[in-house]
Amino acid sequence: MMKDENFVITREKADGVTKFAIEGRVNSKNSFTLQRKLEDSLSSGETKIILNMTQVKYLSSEGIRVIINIYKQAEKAGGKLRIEQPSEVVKNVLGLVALNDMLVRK
Amino acid sequence: MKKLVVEASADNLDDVLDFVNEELERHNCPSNLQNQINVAVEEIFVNIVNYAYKPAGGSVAVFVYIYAGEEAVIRFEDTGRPYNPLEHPPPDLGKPLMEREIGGLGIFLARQLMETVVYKYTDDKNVLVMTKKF
Repeated sequence: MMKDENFVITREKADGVTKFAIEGRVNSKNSFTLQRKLEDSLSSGETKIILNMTQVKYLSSEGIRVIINIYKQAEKAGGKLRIEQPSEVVKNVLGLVALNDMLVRK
Repeated sequence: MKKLVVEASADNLDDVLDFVNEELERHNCPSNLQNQINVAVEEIFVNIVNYAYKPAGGSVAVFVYIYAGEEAVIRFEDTGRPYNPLEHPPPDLGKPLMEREIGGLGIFLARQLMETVVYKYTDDKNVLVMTKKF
């Protein structure tokens, strides 16, 4: 677990999928931490990634950039990245950049 | 009108947001709109941090004014190189994700989240004003 004042990422592995539960604000300060954690997973061969964003209270473009970046890397490595249970805030912001359909798990 | 002057550094983002939020809360801005205004403020401030002064440093002035108790008017001023972020082409939202460009998202989001975003270069300053009713 990695803890910032208002930013927590927990990671768990099950059935070949690595799930990250993200809590707090995904802003330009914290998104680098998120990027590092996700890249760690990719580089250890964990290319099937789920981001649980139900506890995310804030998402800015830096966070979206990280998600797109990791999505591309995962796809290229034969894996995939999906978001599950996005909070209203996450859904609204992703909707503005037309990413809900592509990223959010039905 | 309230004014805050800070160094153009990402480390000051929280101070800028605290400053804006204090005014929004004093005027009972609903939390979902406050969140949207915060994202827009972050995008504009980070943009100034990234483009206005590098590699040298400089300062940013942020002004907040609540018009008629129900419209947030937020102005950013810097004396960095002239740069109109609104000229950046919007991202192509019709493209598949693998082909999406990563640049330009922040300004696009700010324009979507606020009602108006206007830029001008005047008196050797970049001036960006954005408004949103609540």
